Amino acid sequence: MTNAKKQRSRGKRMLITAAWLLLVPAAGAAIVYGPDLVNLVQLGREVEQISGEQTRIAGPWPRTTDACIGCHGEQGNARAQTYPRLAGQPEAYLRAQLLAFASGERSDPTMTPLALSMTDHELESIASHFAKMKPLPNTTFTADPAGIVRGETLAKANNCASCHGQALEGKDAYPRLAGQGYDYLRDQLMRFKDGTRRDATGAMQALTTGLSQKDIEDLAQYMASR
Amino acid sequence: MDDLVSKQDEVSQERAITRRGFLGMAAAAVTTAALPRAASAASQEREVLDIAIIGAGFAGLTAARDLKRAGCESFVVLEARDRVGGRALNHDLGNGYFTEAGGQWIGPGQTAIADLTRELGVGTFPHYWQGKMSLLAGGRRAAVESDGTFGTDPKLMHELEEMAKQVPSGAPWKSPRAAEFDAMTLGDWLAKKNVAPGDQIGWTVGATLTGGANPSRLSLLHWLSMVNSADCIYDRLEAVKGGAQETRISGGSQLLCIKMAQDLGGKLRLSTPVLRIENWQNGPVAIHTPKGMIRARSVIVALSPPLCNQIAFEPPLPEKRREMQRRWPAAAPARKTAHVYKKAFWREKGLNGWVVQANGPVLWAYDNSPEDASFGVINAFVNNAMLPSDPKAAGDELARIYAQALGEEALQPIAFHDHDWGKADRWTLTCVSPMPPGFLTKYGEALHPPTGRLIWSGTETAEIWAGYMDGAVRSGHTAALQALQAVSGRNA
Repeated sequence: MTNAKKQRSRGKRMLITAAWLLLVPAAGAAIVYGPDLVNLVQLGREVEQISGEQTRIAGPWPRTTDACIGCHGEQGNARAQTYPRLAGQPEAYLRAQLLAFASGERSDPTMTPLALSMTDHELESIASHFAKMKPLPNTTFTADPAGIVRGETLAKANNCASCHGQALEGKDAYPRLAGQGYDYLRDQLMRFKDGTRRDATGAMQALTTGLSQKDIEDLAQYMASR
Repeated sequence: MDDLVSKQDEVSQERAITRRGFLGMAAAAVTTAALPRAASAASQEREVLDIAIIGAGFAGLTAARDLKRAGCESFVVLEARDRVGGRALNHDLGNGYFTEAGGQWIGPGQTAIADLTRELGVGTFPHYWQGKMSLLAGGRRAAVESDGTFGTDPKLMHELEEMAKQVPSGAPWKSPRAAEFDAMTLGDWLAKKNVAPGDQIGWTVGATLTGGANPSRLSLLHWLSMVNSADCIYDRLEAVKGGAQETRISGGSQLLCIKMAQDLGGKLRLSTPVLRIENWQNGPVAIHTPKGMIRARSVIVALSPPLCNQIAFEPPLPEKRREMQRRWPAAAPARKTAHVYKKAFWREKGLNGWVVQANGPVLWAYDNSPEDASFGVINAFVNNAMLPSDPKAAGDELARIYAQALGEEALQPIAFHDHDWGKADRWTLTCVSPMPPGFLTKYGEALHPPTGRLIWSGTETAEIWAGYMDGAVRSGHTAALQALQAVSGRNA
């Protein structure tokens, strides 16, 4: 590219004021009139408010934990069923899983490299942040009532509450299952069953060996709807 | 000397095998022209091809096209999926219209894909950006005249452009300031710049769409290498007008791959995932698939590096290469949607169809209507976890957001397409590669050099525009040259 062209390109860019930058009081280069200006000012206030709230909850921008939002949702409450919800998971469980991804003990094409790239500080701050977030009910999953009934019976028969808590809320190294994504729960139970995911005691593998695919789906229905 | 003798022995053995294989195949052809697949795979076991290409995306197909044009006929392309295109995928909208679920734009400086488009007789047309864009935050909406860029603080753009001049895009680890830039994230750098809340959204959306992650996960060195790809002109990377999102491909980006595949005939094997690769050090390389084994003297691996983890290599790859693959970031499995409308109603209101949302499911929605605007399409990159998994529920929710941004007409789409790349199949792990700090300086060197008879290709290996369709085409050209040189070296 010639210098002349570079000059032109740079000159043009100097005239450009980004739309979002308009929200900054100091930047007033673009000309916006009437209702658009009113809307923009109101929008600017809204952005300030959102930003303030996020800073209060998760610290100043740019935040390490923001990198998790795309899959795990706002404050760890994923609305998609395919990714685990991190909100309210016990800190010890979150830490152990991140370490397991990094060590190769647990394997996932997305999480393995991500965990390997985290500093100790990042790993700790992610575990402690999401453990503090309030888990919201899983409202984007429509459960089948018959599946829930069967799933509840299976959960009692397999004594899930003895490790995961009476309300399946999780404790220490045992994850919260209540309100977890349906597809995620089903896939993880299948992985324990086929041996591609293991837990420290081997309890989950032993327990899932006796479950059929239908059993697993019903259990997932029940847990996702708690 | 010993090495040379053993290589010559191997060549003569290979040739003998090839002749036998050829005779076997000729005999089979006499018997019947319609032998079942298994029989032809069995005969190939005896044949040693010059080159096998793994992957029928832009890189693999470009390499295949180059081989054919150079007169090489002894090759095969193995593709895991039942389609070509890799991360380029068209949704069929009927009557010859398409909208893209994957990579879709080309821009200034992307000459490799522009050349390919011309050579294949495929047209291009501009990405529509004229009018006002809609900004949403909470319940508020504002419309702002667009200039076709996302822009940001010109001072920061200029600083990044200047730093990018010291970071060669094809080998960022060779930058004189590599250690310094790779020790921090783009977020660390921005944190010192007092970025206002409104502009923070711009940076987050920009980094996520272009780099695959929030600024807090992206190595500054990597970001600068992307700016360097764009000739150190920030808008050339990020903008629509004058940038890498400027131009669309008539018939959808996947059409280029479909056209390249049409010229390959039986050399392209779909639904043939590679499971294991043996004897890659000296060849002939044995490539195991569920449909049988293929042998080749050289192999072009036209795959994203983390996908290579799904192949078992015997013996194992060298440690540095292995670690590079294992640690390669694959954390950007994009989800892209398309709402189809009877007409591009927003244009009549002076809107350009863009929607940017603070803290919501929509990262960026844009006008992806066909060139003749005979109907309207709004495509969007979405925050996957902020939407229900159920496509119908997700489509309805997005339509309500578009109604707020563009008008009530948005509630009446005539079709909806949803492609969640993370869920669709296991053959795409990530859209782009969000490099974390420390990765490129430690493992970057293992990305390019061939390993034994394995030639590494794919957009991630490109000298410029790595991660883009253009980079994929460039990497295909390079790999074909490397493979042809290896073949001619062995035949000399």
